[in-house]
Amino acid sequence: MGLIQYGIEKAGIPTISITHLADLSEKVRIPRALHLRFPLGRSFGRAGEQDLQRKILLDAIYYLREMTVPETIIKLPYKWKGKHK
Amino acid sequence: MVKPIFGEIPITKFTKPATEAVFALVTTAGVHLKTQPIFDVEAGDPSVRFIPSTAEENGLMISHTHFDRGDADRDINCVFPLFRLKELAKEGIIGGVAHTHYGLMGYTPNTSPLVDETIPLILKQLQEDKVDAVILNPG
Repeated sequence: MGLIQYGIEKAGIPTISITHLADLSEKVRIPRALHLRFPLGRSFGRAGEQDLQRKILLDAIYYLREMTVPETIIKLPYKWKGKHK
Repeated sequence: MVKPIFGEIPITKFTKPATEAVFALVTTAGVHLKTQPIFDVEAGDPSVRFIPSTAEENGLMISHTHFDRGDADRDINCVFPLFRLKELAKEGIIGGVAHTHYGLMGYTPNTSPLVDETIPLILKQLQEDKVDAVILNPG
């Protein structure tokens, strides 16, 4: 995913990604990312969690503007509860 | 398998008001229309599926096999929140939803075809659709 994000950003279109593994994203080096300690396959929350899906999208839109230094990763405050971590 | 990107990492400032901006989604969780070919996961399929914004929730599926799809199979918005994004557009919070969104499969050990063929196809379509910003998530 890093290469795709890099390619789009380099072409002049701002990008932001969700990452589940901040260490990996740091190594890959990407323009902007939001870190969520959610399992893979649940980047925007669990099935039916429409409010959370919406909040994470709104966060992405907000931080797209706020993050102006490349390779910035911001951790979102949402906690994953229960199994499948 | 981590392949770092070398050199300077670009950053393009997002200056357009969100209320006027057109957003596209890119996911590597293996999402596509049920009518499109499934990803050849074990072959490291580097291709992309163009998903129209007119897609319906029950018209989409996931063919990536390397993560637990327990939630995403029931609610595609867990990995591809097109339907939440459309709500934001309808409410005027964002300017619009792009005509095309992008489903890829994240397991691509050989990245050359991704870089040489797939990414240029994505860039061309993003430009044709006049997309202002892109939100990505992995799989």
